[in-house]
Amino acid sequence: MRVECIVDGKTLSLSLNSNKPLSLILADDIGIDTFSSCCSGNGCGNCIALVDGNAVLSCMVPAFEINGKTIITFESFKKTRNYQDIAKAYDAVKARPCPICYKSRTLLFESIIARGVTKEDEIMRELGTIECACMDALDEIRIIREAIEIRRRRRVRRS
Amino acid sequence: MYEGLRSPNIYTPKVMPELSPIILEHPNATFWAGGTDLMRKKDGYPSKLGEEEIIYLGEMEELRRFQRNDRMIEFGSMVTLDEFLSVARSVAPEVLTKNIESIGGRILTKRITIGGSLGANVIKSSIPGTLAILDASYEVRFIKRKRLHSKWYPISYMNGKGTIPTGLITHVRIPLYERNYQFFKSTGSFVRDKDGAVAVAFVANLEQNQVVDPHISFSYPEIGFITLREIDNAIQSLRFPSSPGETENTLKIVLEMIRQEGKISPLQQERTKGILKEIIGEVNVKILSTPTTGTK
Repeated sequence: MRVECIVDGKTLSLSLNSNKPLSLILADDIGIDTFSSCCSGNGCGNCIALVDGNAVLSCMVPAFEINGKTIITFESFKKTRNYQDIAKAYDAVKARPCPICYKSRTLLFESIIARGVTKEDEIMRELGTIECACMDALDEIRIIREAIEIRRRRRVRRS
Repeated sequence: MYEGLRSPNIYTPKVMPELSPIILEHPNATFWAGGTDLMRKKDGYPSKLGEEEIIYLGEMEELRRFQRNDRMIEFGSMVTLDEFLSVARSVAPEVLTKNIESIGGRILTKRITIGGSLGANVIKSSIPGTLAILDASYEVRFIKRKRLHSKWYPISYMNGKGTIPTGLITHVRIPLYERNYQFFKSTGSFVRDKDGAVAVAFVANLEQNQVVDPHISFSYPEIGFITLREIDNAIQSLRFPSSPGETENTLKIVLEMIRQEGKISPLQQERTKGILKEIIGEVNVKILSTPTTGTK
């Protein structure tokens, strides 16, 4: 089937199998080798991408669902100011994810920060999406709160 | 690598009358709800699914409706768990909202649909077990003599194995009974930890020193949910506060009944026992802390 979508700012028209997962489309058809996922759909959480601003597990999104959507992977996200906020929060808290889950966890943090979630139990529930246990949950909560504060200050300065 | 694979056609009916001709033309088509079950299969892609057509249900407005009155809540099968929480949190039974929250973050709950969690070939979530103890029922639409027919079934009839009558689950209805004690707990992940995950849902009315009308379900990945009248009776026969001896005896009976129903791992047995102990302990505390009316 013909799928038209915007991936990392580029408008693409792709001929794809309708049930092909987004994770494979990004790797095989677009050449974005961003994921370190190897769970074959078992929910390791290492294949997160942003589809229309919402974090999704790309191994669970079929080709026919991305038609007309805007997809952002870590490759383009790392060039944004929003990424800088999270990177600063990593430095401030002195904790960062391991190289395996770094990209996915950063995108997950971004989706939580963008929604402005600050309640501890709600953050904990969201963080359970990624299986990798490289980070302490309290550090993750501190990173999210720190990044929200950094972003707020940046926006105040700009306005 | 994937050359020669056939791309399945996607049909996106918008209303029920559009659905029946598609089913008649493609009787082996796969119904696609949230896709979390289909995409999670080890052989999900490339797979034999490519030989079948896909009927995507996401654009059927009728399957996304939600309605309630004083006696029940009814919602379409394409309502996602996230939508359900945002709409029905205040009216839905607490045991169900706790269950949905235990499944994970919004990345998952925005994709999992209630119909999808009931309609999977093998039950892989704890939702059906919880719905079963709430006496929920589901509507199935099926083709008979080239026409769409509808029938309601209690979820407890599923037998925990996900064996639903052939057709499409369209609506789920939950009666709103008053139960003053609701408990849900799950340990382990139903997606990642198939040999260790357990979920227990329990509802009852606490009255004086006993539980009245208890309903309990035990959910295990791949096995499904277990609800037995005998287990409910064993719990009802307990007098609270129950002594450690009585508790241990009841646990033994309940675990034996669960073992007879399905093959669960030693870890799941231990976890089930732990959660049951927690329920009995919690009921003990609640009954002991309830002020009793004195007689003169």
